[in-house]
Amino acid sequence: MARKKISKQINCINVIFVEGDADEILFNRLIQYYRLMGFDTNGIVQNTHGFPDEKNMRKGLKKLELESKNPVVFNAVVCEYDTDVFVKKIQLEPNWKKVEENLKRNYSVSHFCRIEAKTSIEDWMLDDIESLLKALNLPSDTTTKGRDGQEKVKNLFKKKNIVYDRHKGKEKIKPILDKLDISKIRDARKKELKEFERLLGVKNLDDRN
Amino acid sequence: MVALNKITIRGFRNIEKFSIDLKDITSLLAPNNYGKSNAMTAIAFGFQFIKSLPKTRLGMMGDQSWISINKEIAGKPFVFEEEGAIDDNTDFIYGFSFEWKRNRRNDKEDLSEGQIVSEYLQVRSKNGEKPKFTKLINRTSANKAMYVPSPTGRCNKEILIESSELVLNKLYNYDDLFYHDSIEIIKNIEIKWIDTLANPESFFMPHMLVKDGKRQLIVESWISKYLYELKQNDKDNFELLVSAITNLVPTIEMIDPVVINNINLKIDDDAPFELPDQYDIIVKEKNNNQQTRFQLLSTGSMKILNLLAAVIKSQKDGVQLLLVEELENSIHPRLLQSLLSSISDFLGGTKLLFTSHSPNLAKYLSAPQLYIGLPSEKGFVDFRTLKPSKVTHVLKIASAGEMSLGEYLFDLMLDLEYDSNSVSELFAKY
Repeated sequence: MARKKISKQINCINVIFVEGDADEILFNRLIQYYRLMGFDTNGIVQNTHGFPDEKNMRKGLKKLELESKNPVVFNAVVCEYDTDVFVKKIQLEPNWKKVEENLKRNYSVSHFCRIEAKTSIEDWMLDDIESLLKALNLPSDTTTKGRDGQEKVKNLFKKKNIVYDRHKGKEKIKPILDKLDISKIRDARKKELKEFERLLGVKNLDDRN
Repeated sequence: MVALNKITIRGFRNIEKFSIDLKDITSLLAPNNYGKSNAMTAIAFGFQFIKSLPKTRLGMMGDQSWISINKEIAGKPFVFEEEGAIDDNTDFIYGFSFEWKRNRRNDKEDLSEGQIVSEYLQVRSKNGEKPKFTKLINRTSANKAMYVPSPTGRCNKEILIESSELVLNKLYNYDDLFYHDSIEIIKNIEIKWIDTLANPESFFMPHMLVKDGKRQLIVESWISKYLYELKQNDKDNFELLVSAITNLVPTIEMIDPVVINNINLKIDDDAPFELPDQYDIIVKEKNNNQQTRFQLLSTGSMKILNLLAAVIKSQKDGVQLLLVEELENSIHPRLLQSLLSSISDFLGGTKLLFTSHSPNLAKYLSAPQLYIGLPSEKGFVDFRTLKPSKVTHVLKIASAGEMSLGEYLFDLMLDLEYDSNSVSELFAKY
């Protein structure tokens, strides 16, 4: 009797680890934008609710492996974080080379890259301050006050009596962040996104605009 | 607003010396029985002592709950010192010490009562080229104290003082004194203890108070009434509070503090009083078919509301320091980061000192905000910060052991040998 051949499809996915709700919303929008621009881009945004260190990323990859019906290979694993995290909290900057080696060795990861949000993801939001003010129903000449991007965004939200919580406020910040012009943010941050876009197969995006 | 920057305590229960630099948020992190509560109580005790009447102070100086029975500390005086800024241009240091009451039948010394034995106030203007502290009060024994009487005078004017009186309080009555405002500010520094360990329903329930030997029902809970008043008088802060609560407890759609008037109660014209209004907090959760009362929500939700409302109230009341025990109590670890962030947003100039058993909190704070309890062979309270030069070293060890910083610190606290080299290597001295 001929043996029935079972062919399992292999899932080839890109995973983007981010550290908070705001990052999750913006990166999902970014991937949508790439698709809208005609790129066949897949990307799963994983919120680690804190700095995406190696331990968090390993946990996330393991979870994705276990949850998938088919075998998984990770084309790209991307780690996005604020650069000020090493100043504001007790956070050691990992040995990224070692992290990359470990992930590639243990989790069928083909490529690894980092996205450094300088100095925080809120600075990215402020790249489209016009839309942010409009979404918050604030006058277009509203000045931003604060020591850094995060404080400035917090203070803008505060003007509308909304507590901006980057880590636990998805329902409140999503309607606002959805109104930002993601292409504008992408253009302002294309240097930081260069390697990420290359791994996701987003080529010559500027030519399409 | 006056800022409180540093507190030092000696000679209280098992505290030989405890000193803490206060940041906006500062934590005492330790396993059980490392003296977190003693440190907090000692701080509250010190400020309460300043505010108390001489008669109450006599009781405090003889209260056996606080007198040390540690072999090394027993017999040593209670020492209290606070440092801060009266305003943007003036720093201050104020301190006092007292001998505890001795209560031994065979005592020959005449120490039947405790007595204040030293007191000082120094101020420094930041405007000068070489800012130096100037002594305004100098007390060297129970009944001998000097003060500066005029802007050109020196600290040599004697003041009559009883052994249970503080010069600070006595000078407060000298309206014309050129630094009367400073005295008033330091005397009135407010600290507040937020009770996170009590049954949270008690924050919402009517309070029973004992008055004149008879029970009198006070029909209000502080939180319901406070939120109602906040909604009426400070809409911005009320809406921000609701926003923070609904971030932390996303199932909540609406929070509405209400007043339940007693206007329909029948009352005679000559009745001497009428029952006060009652307050309640109505809440609507997403999946429920009707509104309900906040106190029917989970323990954690009630604690979060109590904590944030108390922070707002303290900030508005001009409280300088808030003390919170076991901040993480009944709260899921993932919420802690957001809770700390919301607290920080509402603090304004108020500072927060909290204790915790939770390894999870360490990663949300910076090194100077983290005071770590260390074991002491002599049974002393010993809280220290990591030396700045050792933070990376500790993080590397934690990372190599696949531990979070908090997990590693707790291992360290529990496993460190008394007074080992690691203690002096890793942790800053007072």
